[in-house]
Amino acid sequence: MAKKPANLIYGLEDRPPLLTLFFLGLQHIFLMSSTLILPVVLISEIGGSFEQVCSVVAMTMIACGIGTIVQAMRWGGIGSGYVCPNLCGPNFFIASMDAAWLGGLPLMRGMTIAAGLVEAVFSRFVGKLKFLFPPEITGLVVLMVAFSLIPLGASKFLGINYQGEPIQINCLWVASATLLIMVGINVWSKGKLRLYSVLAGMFCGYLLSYAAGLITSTQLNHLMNAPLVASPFFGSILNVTFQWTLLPTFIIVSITGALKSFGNLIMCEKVNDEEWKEPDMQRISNGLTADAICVTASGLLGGMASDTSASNVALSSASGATSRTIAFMAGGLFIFLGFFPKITGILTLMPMPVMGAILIFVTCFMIMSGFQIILSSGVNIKKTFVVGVAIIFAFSLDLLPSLYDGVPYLLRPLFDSSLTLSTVLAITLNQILSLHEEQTKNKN
Amino acid sequence: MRQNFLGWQKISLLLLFLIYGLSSAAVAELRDKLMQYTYADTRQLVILVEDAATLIEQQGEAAFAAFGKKNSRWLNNKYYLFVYDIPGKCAFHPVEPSLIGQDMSNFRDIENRPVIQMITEVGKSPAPDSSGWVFYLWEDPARLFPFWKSSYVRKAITPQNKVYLVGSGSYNIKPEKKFVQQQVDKAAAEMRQLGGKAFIKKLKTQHDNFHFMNSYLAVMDANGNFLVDPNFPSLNIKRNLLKMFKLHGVNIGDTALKALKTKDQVWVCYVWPNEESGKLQRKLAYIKKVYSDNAIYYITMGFYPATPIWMK
Repeated sequence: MAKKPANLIYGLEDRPPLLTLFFLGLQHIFLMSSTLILPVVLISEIGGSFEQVCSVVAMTMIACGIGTIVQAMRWGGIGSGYVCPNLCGPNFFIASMDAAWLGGLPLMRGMTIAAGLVEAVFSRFVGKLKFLFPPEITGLVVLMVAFSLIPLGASKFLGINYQGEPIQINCLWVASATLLIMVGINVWSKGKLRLYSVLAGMFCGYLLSYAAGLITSTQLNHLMNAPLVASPFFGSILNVTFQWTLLPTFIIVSITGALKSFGNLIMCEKVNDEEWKEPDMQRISNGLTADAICVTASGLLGGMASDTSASNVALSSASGATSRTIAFMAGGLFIFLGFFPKITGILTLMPMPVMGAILIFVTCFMIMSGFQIILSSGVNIKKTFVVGVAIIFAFSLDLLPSLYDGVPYLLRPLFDSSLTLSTVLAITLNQILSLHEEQTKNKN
Repeated sequence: MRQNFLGWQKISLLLLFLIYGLSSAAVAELRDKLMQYTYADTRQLVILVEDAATLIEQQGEAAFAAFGKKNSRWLNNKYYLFVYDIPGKCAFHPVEPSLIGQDMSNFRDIENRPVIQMITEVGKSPAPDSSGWVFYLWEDPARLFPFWKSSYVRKAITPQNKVYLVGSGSYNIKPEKKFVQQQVDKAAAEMRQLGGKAFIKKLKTQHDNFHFMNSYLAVMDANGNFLVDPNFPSLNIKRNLLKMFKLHGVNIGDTALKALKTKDQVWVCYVWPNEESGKLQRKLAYIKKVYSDNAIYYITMGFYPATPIWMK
């Protein structure tokens, strides 16, 4: 039985008052919207129309809303029962862009469905792999998920999108102020105000961005001209194509996404249980199935592939509210808002510095959680090398990617992300270094 | 409790100060004009030249004195401004002051590109604030050989009705959709003027002014056969668009030609090996349909869009 940590204001089974629940849900959906810019970028890149952009954004929201609700349920073998919302996955962005680039939205949809099915299969086997994931490796996964958010968070914080661009001073000021407000509320405030630290930061961030000219009048015109209510369906829902040659890429991305969700679900367990010792693999398996349903639903509906949101899990921890009713509220609101283009517009307009400040804020919590999980069962010489070697090579891949230019084609997928590389390295090393322990045990 | 309140007071004061300070920075109208560019460094250069043109329109030649101040916004390690009149006489050049007063209209770059004529061409448009991009090879202090420079040029009319072309360039500008579109539209206009066959002959026999960075102009017939192929200029075997872009089972050429049956221009996206790294990279091509000499021609040019910095 999990023990509710003292710092939680509303624990997993608690039911916050309706108004509080609404604002907590609202806070989550703002954060879930932080990556809705990805479908906007993707559709613009392939030359899609404004209507297509609106449709893909709305469908992504609806799929993520469904995923968030399914994740919070514990229905048969589906759902972890935690607040672990889905958002449009940055993880899938490159693969989705490649598919859309080659065969338009029908191919992107087909490959997203395939990725969802791959994760569904993986989720059913993950329960049998408990021996591979002792606390130091699960902590490492959480830590690497946090590190994977750094490039996006830091670049948005400084207002830089492409190499060679100058730091946008206005962005930096707004992002710093937004971050300061969120951190300030968390550090200095007492009681329930902490619940709304991100919402308050975002509100001020939007105001400051407008004052700094970071929200343009063209964007506002688009918003004003958008209809209040509209059907998000655009074109034929049956227009789906598939390419076998793209499947390996999508399998890798899907497994990486599943590993990331694995880390997020462990963080959910940790946040909700003061006496957490090791992952509940059955619950994680059910959570991954819920995530797979969300990815498949994104493809079926015509949205961009989704992923569980590490930042939302960290937000729950930061605000001290992990009640699963928040997930139902956030998921329901996200689905509902998918039919309101004007409101969707406000979410997709999220200015760069606000996005950057939120990502930096939530990443801080994830980094500390990762370290806490790694160190939760003490330190020994084996763990030192398992974690140390994995982190060293993961960083070498991020800092010096050209080092691995000569990697044989078959091993390439391993070097596509530092999360995959560090996880595979840590699991392998842990098994090799545990051989001696096993032999000693057998002798005794 | 009192300590908490003081904390809030400080945050509110900081917020008010920031809103006040930043609102003056909002230049909404110009920002909207800049929305057609993807990259911030391109927008920064456009803002600089647009502001310089506004100053010339307000102060006339007196603005040149401000343009020449070292370590100012107009003249620093990153940018300098140049000004020419319509015939091609240099009116202002802070880096090479000896050029001032000289007729530079016949000046050409290392590949025989008439750089100043390309600049003054922008001023021949009837619009009082016409602008455009010019690409040429220019001496770069950081490199041994001339390197691609992209310059934004804007027409400015002084209070005394004198027409100048003010511009500034950078070696680090990334190719934009607008650049490619401008080059293809310019080629299409020239084809319509000269006739299809004459234009193709000119492209094959003379150096073209359309090529910039890694982007080359190609011309195809209605069936997708290359009539001007920048990759194989001396090759007699005609390559065909339909046989080229087949990757992951998707025939991009077929999709493009089908789309061009109902549209006059299309953007096509595909994956293609990068000339420098050899790695497969996303590429965008703009194809424009031109009717000339009772035939249909397709003029096309492509570029590799930059990858966001946060995307590995």
